[in-house]
Amino acid sequence: MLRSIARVTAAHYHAEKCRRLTHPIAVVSSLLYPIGRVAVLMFLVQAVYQNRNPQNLLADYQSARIYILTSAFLTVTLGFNNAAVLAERIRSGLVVFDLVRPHSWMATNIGERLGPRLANLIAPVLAFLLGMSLAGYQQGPKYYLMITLMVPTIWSIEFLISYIIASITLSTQNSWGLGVALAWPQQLLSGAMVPLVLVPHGLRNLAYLTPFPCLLDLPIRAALGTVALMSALRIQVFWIITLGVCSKVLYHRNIVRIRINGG
Amino acid sequence: MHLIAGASISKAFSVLSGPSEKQSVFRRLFRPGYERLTAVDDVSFTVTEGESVAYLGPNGAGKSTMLKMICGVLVPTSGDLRVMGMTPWKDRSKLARHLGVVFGQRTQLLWDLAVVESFRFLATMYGLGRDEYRQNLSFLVARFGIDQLMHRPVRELSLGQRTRVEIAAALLHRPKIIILDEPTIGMDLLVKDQIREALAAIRREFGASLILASHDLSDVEALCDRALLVVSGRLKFDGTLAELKNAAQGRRTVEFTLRSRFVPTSVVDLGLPSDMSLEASGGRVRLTYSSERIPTVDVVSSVLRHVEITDIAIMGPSLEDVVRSLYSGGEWPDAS
Repeated sequence: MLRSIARVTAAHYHAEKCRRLTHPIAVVSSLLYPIGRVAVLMFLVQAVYQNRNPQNLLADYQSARIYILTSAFLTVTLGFNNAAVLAERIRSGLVVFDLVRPHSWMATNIGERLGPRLANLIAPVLAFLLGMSLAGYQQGPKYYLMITLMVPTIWSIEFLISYIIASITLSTQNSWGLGVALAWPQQLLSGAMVPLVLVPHGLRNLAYLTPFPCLLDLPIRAALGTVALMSALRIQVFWIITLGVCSKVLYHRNIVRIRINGG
Repeated sequence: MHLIAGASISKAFSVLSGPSEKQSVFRRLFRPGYERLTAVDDVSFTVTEGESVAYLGPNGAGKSTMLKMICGVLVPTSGDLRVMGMTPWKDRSKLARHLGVVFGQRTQLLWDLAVVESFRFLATMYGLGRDEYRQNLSFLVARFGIDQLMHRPVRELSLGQRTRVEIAAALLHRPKIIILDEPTIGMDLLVKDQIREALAAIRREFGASLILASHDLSDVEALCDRALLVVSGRLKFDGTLAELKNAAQGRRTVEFTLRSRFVPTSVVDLGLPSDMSLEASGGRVRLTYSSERIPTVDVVSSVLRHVEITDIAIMGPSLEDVVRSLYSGGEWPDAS
């Protein structure tokens, strides 16, 4: 399995690197995108703090801004678009090529998603460091270490959620509907759209019953020191195991029902 | 030992049925109706090592479904299928090392990148060593004549060029079984010839078996020794191409070039029985019939009584005529 993942990842890493070099404007764009995203969110947060009593908000202004910067970095680094890409390959029938290669479907999908992300790592890291430096935020090495440690667990959870969606798509073929169904809860309940510290209590409590906060909210709060690291990791591992079991069951149930029409 | 052995294989799909009058869109959301569609129906066949087999059938006959079951992509609803001693859908990853697959309507090439990058991509994917990769690549590049295309982006290739690259890419890891699903769809004659020659040479070099699904019977005649013919999912014929042609022994085609302006639109216009088939175009009339039912001399004399002609050609059945006749409900030889 690990060798398969390494091979597929290497193949896609190389392909993505070539693709980037073919379209140099994409490199510039991927550097500018996280900066633009952070700037807009910072503006919105400033508006919130100016118009509401900060005592009613769970985080101080400085923490909220670091939260946003970190959230933008993680969102851009990890992509969070695995479900759409995996389901699209099923809808278009291109999944047939994934299934005639000498690797399991899971290994193929991990490598196929991981390779391009690794090839695109430099731009968001640079943007993040630049953002931190320009905003004058001083964070110790512990903060950066925690963020680095959390990246694989966040990616695993997001991948497993996407893999479950893709496994369901194997039998339903309705990738569009499932993609739409997943997109908004993931954006809203993970804290990518608005930091969870700023959303109403009821919605926040609902979010904590799902794996979505493990994608952004939990790791960022762990990095900021408002949640214990071990506690955050325990929750993430719980969701990795739960989603892993679900994805395996769903894959085996649905792969026998896959339909790919035409030659 | 058989390389591929299938016994009573069936594959049925559940497909969403159209809305009934009673069903509203909202109700269908919660209680969708499904109907069962049988794509492959009780098919048994074998393929031995080194054999080259055509899998023929009209659109929707279940050809692609069968090929995907052989690859392990689809799982049969019932029956037993063994490929190289393995159960394809259970040992899919292991079996994939021995399969080279081309789906004529889809591409596995990296669209925006130079052709050579697709080959590198597949070499990494299949874990080919540097020497093995170079050796296989140079052999395939020479056979398919694609050396000038290697540094051009895939999206800039013509259909014929892309197909040559596509087939070469599928064979990079020297598969034991080559599966081609309509590989020459939309090609011109010269490209088809080039692909056929390359495939024949590669089969000799690799010692590989070939399974070819195609509507192009000239591909089949050039590349295959044996044919399996399916209609509506059921195997209707399994035998050599010669046997397939013999199945329509006695069928004749006579082509008349007309001098007269009158162009008949039906066989009745020529005083001939209505069970004969007639095609008329460009001042030519083509009649197909069974010489056992009506002697050729009677056909010719009847035509001469009704129209003036400048030329006449009498032909035995081509493979295309045979298959056309069988697709359209002609008499079937038994599937052996």
